Amino acid sequence: MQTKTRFSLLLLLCVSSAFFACSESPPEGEEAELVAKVELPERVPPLKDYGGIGGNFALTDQQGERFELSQLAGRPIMLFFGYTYCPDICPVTLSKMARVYELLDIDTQEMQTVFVSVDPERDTPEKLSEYLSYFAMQAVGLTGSREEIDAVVKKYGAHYDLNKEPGKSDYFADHSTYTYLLDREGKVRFLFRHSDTPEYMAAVTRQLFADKP
Amino acid sequence: MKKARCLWLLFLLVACAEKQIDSLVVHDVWVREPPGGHPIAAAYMRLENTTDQALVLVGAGSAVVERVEIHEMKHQDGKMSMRQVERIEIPAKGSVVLKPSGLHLMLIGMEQAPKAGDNIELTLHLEDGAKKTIQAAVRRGSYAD
Repeated sequence: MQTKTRFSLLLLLCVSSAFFACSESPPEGEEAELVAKVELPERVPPLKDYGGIGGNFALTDQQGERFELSQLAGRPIMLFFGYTYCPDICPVTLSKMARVYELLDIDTQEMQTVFVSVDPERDTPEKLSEYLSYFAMQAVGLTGSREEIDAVVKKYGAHYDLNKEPGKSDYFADHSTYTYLLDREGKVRFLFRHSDTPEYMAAVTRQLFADKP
Repeated sequence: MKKARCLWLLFLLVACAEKQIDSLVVHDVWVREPPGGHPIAAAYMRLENTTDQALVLVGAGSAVVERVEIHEMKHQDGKMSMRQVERIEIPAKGSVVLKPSGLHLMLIGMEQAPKAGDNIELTLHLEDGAKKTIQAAVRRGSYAD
């Protein structure tokens, strides 16, 4: 019994000293190195085949140019439906996506983020451009006519409601919060939930990068 | 004598109007810098009630905001909806957290889009008429919020 108590004490000592060693703040400059060392979860679900949803579409990008999703062939894509007035969900999701690039140590040429607006009346190409530049991952922002957007939303099994009230210029949309992971052929291979961490998203996405162990 | 009573009444009136409630303690207040420069932002905080009775938040105001609404996010079947709620009850000796993807205050129609580093003065309104003035620091949101 006594030995057990002594062992427990020793264990406690080890754990607590390890804790204090870890909680020391890193010296300036070493932070970037530490970021790259974040351990991603080892066991994540395999990529899936969603068959029925997804596919190519054409909308207008933030430069006002016609943009077809198939232009991105050869690169994995993270696709999200949102709107720039979205005060909470969209900024968090886009920040998580930006974090995935850091965790996988890939640049914005190796994977493309695509943000499709469900609020084309307010989200002009200019607004999308200003909004997306905040997240520094060269995301493509897409808008279009209501009909065009509805067709894309339907194609991807997404949904939204704008909740516009007469006489109220400010409105908030309800919208699906999945982030679609598309492979290099543009096929939907995974749906991330809003609650998924960037580490989990990076570990799943890593499966599309054969060169990332 | 009459004058003294008048003054006393006046004092009471002023005291009531300016009644700042100390038993509501507000922690970790912050406002997310809105990407895209929209004059609309969400405010988050933890409300702690140190009294033996429930306190009820019914609204908030600010000199630099057209209106403040209490919102709640509901996440169901992969879809997020945001609804205005009338009140937040803070239980006796308890806390309520206003956080991303949950309850928050929406600052709608701001004089200008807030920037990281700004401070916004907000006044919380309680059901019993008490008020609490707080300073909310604007900062950039992150994936970890």
